[in-house]
Amino acid sequence: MRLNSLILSAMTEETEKTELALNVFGLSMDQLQGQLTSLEPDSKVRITGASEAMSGLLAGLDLSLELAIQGNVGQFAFMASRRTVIDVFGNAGGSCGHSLQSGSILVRGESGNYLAAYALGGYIAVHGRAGDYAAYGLSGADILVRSRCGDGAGAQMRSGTLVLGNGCGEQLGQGMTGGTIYVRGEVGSVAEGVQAGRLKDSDTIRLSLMLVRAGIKTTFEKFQVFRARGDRG
Amino acid sequence: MSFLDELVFVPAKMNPLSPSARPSSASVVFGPRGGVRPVQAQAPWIVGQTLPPQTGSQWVDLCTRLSQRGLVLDCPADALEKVPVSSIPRRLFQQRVNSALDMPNLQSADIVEVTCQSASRAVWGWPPEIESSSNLSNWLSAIRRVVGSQTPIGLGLNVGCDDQAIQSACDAEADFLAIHAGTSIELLADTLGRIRALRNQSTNNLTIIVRTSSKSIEHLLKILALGASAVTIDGYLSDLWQATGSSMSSFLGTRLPTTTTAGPCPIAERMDSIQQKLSELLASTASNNLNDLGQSLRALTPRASQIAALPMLGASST
Repeated sequence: MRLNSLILSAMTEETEKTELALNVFGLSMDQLQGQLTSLEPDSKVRITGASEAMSGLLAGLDLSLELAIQGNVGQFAFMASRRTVIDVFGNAGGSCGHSLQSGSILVRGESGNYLAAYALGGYIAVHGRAGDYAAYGLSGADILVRSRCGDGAGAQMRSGTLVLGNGCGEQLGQGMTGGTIYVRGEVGSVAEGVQAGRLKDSDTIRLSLMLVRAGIKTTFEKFQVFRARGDRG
Repeated sequence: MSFLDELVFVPAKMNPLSPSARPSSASVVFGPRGGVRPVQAQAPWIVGQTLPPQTGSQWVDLCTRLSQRGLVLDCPADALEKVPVSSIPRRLFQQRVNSALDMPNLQSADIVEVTCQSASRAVWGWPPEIESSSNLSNWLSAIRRVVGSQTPIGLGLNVGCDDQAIQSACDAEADFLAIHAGTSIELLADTLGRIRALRNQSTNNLTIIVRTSSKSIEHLLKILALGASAVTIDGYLSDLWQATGSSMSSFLGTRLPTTTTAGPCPIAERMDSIQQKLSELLASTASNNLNDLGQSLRALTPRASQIAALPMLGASST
């Protein structure tokens, strides 16, 4: 059985929780999800052996777990996942967090195009750069990109929050009908139908919370806010 | 006049009957590929795009009849809230591209069709997030994991889509294709012909649903003969719901359904009728199953012959 390749060992760390180690090299997606399903709720798991060749990693996962993934993850990682707290110590391929339901994803490296497309809930933060069309069709989740974001950020956005910590490319918010985009830094261009506005009290509270959560030490005054024309937030 | 009116079924030649012949089958199997629990519908009829607001008080009856006959209903889960559990038929759910995955509906459906049409703009195309059709397979695999590996997942394409689109859908290992024909019946014959050709080149016996608004039993049967594995019968049933609307009475401004009386159920009668026609057709053409029906179809006019790529009546079949 291929599960022989699985290394599942308990390592007691200084924290109060026990962290499990799981090497996913050679495992099928079904085997991996089966292993995670067998764990106690709220377990902490360190996953090694993942690669960007694995598309759809942990898609549809609905488990209360904390996962620390060493290495890069491929396209459509964590699609529609729910409840799981995920920390990726590497880069993410395209459409990471597609249709995310809840939980959180932290990508320490860079992200491909269509980060958090259609995400409905939860929180996604990317420390490095994000490709084009970040938060495409966003439908309720909170997204933060610390470094520069590509073109079409927030395109077709319906609701939710997108925070860009270091500017973005062309056509910000193209076709957006709802939600809020906060940008610090240079904006290549703003799409038609999107307007810059003043930060209101509700904006400063929301933005501050997201910045604190991402560990960014800056003041919200440096941010501009963008909404669909006619949307007063 | 539709070219379908210019097609005709020819009865089977008189041959000695096979002593070991089995009853002909009109059932349809929906993947999943490599799965252990295929969804089998007893007949090639699917009700889609018919919802309680149209059917009124007949909704539960419709669901019950579909469930009893092992047929598939295309609807969101919340449309079945007031239907007794024992009367819930197998449910197909359509997920549109360019929108968030509808998890409650996807995970509770027996069959999932991912329709490659934008929900907001009604434009056909692959989901933008795949960026290239070569990624369609990865995208569909991820959705398969989200939905559950035992649920058949198909792709909905527009009628007249090109060979590359059909090939991409096949390469992505869709369990079935749903061709949205609407009223473009001429294009449907061409599309089905090309799918049939692709199917013949491989061992893949892909299930094909045709979504049509046709009201005619004869047209529906001919669409099956042209290569569809199942067809939607909403058009065929639609006048039943119009009758429902007219049978509502008004009392002090409140619309009340008329008292249901014991007697033949119009939905059951209608379904029995189409099933009877299909059985008679399979028998008269000596077809063992739906795949064999096409061999008995002939064109009455050169135009129909050209559109459907079928021999003229009187010409020998190739």
